[in-house]
Amino acid sequence: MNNKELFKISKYVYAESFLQSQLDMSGTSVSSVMEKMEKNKRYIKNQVIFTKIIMVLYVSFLILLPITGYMQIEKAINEGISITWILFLGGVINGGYFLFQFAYLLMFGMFSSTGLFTGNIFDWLSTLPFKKKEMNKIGIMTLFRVIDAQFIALMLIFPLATAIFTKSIIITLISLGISTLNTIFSFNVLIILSKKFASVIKGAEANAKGSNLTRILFLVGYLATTMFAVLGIQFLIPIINPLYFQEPTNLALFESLNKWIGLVPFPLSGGYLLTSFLVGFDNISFLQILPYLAGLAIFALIDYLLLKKSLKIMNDVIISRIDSKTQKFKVSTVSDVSITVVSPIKAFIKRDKSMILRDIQSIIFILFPFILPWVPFFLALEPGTGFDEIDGFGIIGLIYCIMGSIMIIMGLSSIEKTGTTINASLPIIVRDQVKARIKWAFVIIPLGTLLPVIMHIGKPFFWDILVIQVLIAIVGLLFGTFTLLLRIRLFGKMKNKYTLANVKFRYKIAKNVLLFALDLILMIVIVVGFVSQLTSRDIVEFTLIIFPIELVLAFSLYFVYNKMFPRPRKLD
Amino acid sequence: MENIEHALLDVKSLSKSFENVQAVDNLSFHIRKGEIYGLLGPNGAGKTTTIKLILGLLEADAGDISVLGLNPETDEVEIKNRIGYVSEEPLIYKSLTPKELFNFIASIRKLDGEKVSKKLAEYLEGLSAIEYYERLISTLSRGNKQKVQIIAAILHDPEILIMDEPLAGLDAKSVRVVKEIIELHTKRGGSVLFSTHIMEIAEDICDRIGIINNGKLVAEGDFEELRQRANAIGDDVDLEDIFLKLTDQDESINGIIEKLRTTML
Ligand SMILES: Nc1ncnc2c1ncn2[C@@H]1O[C@H](COP(=O)(O)OP(=O)(O)OP(=O)(O)O)[C@@H](O)[C@H]1O
Ligand SMILES: [Mg+2]
Repeated sequence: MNNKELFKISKYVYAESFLQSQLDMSGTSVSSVMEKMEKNKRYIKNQVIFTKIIMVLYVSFLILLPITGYMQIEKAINEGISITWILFLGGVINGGYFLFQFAYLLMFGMFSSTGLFTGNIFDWLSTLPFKKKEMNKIGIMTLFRVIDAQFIALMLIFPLATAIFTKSIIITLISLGISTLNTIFSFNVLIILSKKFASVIKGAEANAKGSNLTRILFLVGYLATTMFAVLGIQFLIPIINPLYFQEPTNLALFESLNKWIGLVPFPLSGGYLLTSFLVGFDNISFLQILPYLAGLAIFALIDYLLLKKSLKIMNDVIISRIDSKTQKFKVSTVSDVSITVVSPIKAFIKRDKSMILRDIQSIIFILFPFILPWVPFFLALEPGTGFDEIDGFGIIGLIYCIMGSIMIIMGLSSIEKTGTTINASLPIIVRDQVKARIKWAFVIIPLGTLLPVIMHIGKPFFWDILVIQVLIAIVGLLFGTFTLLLRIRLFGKMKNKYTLANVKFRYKIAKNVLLFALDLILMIVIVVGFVSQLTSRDIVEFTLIIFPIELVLAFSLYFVYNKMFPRPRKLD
Repeated sequence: MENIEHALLDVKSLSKSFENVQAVDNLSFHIRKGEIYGLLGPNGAGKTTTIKLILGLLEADAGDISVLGLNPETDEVEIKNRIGYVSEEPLIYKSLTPKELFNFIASIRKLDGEKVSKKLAEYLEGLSAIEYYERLISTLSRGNKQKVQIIAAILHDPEILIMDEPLAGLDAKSVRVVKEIIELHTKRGGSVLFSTHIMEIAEDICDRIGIINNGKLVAEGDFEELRQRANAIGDDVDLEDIFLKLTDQDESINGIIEKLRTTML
């Protein structure tokens, strides 16, 4: 078979591996991924393209960091800033860029590449009449398909931007060389880590604590990089660039630092070498760049060794020589059986806790109410001292709190999907079930909303912010409860979600649209009302108006709740 | 009237249709105390739909159901306190372990912790499921999931056991144990509604069998009665033939077998 045909075949292996990665990452919400696929045949394709575009976008964002630095270097030299200082900053900033690029690749590559290692995707190939050599080729081609866009972005965006901004062929070539070394390094590390990661999250071990922790860490890392890519860079550039013009006094320290840390193969040697060329040999001697060249030589050697290792891993995967380590399971005995009976509401909460920690989707839904309220604090690190600045702060906080409460309700409502037939057999009192949900919301929403206030302890407007956040948290709770009740009203009681499918799930899309529209309208009304009051009054007046309204709404919701889920009557 | 008095479960003229299928069609039967009643029918006959109607999981188009003298549509919680249900599809929280699941169930059913622990340990051991006690349900094999589901259904000593194809996926030993569980349950005075599409199983386990096809009851009686009907049709006719005949499958199956012969030989 020729290479072209093999490349065609690798497409199927690739689709398979991507699906496998999605399933691995979703933990136990596998069925929902499958469901999405059934509904939308292009689901996988879209996901693939989306992941790739995001990665390329982020790298393009990030490129601003070194590029804006180039211009500062020229200016700084003209202003007579010490070369030692410029070299240090330039080296570290470029190195930082390489490091971030590397981190991005791991974050985004891992999504698509773990599937190569977890699901024995090459197994079915071995049932077909391929030669071993052809199998190997297919494996490498599959890997390339997984990371093609990322590969090209990583390799070329940096030299391209360098070429455009420096218009120097030599510097462009150097950046291309460094970029190549970085790219090889990054991909080899990606393969090695994916393999490690794959064995951690592999289905059968999904219960292991380490695997849950890995999922959570990965997710937090993912959210952090995303936030950084979108918000962080904006803040970093104005902070970092002026540093070029703030020369420190102890230059001797930096002089030796430049020598020693410039030896660190990744990411600093490359950063330093590039900066040296940017600074130009009018300003530094050729001897000075020797440590950087040495560092890069070591880097090349490391690349070579890593390449050998990752090729071996690929090879093992393809011919299924992967050590199928005998998994260590706890084998329980009769003495382990000891049932503790708690109240039904507590039982629901305990069950939810176990399930949320094992399901990446639910983790996201629970994490968001904690993460979102930080955004306004992050956006306005110094929200001024007067009350006026606090307004904007309150508005954004309110919107994010409402969004967080919608998410948590959505997350909690989808959690029961895999247990529907057990639920169908249990004498569940719906009131208990709903109460357990509301309890979750009552812990998470206030906690998530109030935690960021800590940032403002000791500031003059601390009490104002605290009061506003408390009022916002109450809005979040009311909103969450409202959404929950509306959902149940529209989609039927949760216990019957599966079994009553054909009865209550008619017009599912229309109902979802209705739910969304109602939530949106309500959110706009609340935000507009909140804001108009907040901007026209002082905090005491504001509280005196908003709080009673919240109380009235709370009582009405409680009334509706009691109507929908009456206390169970006692049978005698 | 005699029936009502002894019937723990009474279904009268039950009908249910989905968009274009009449899944249950004017179906009537009852189950007495201490009896194992088998709903036997081919795939798609309406067994699962009937069971869901009995549990109040679907709303009937027409007909009356009485479970332990209660109405499933209004007394759902009370009914579920007193029956055990093994569903066809074990959707039993795959991201929990059996341990967590049984803790959850015992709490929802407000059982006595100490008593239930003892019982649970025995069931788990009897069905050789004890070693999976702390593993994720999603990692269990289909048969082991089924065992978990069966134990979940009998933990509270229900008066009626409703089992939808409970033996699917079980190995020989576990089939034996489940049969034993069913037997003991009836000795205690409990009743069982048992659905299956496999005739031998119905013959082996059930006291009385209702053969159901296209949502209709086509024959009912104990094993002997059904055999006599078979004999009445012809000498050479066994129960399998009558099952296929009653469910309109006898002719089509001969055609299929004929076709298979020509393609495979
Ligand atoms: N939710 C539904 N929507 C539409 N049709 C349904 C639904 N559930 C069942 N049916 C149809 O009703 C009929 C009876 O189905 P049912 O599941 O009760 O059969 P069954 O006897 O349990 O079959 P099996 O032996 O395969 O379990 C079938 O034709 C089926 O396609
Ligand atoms: Mg069925």
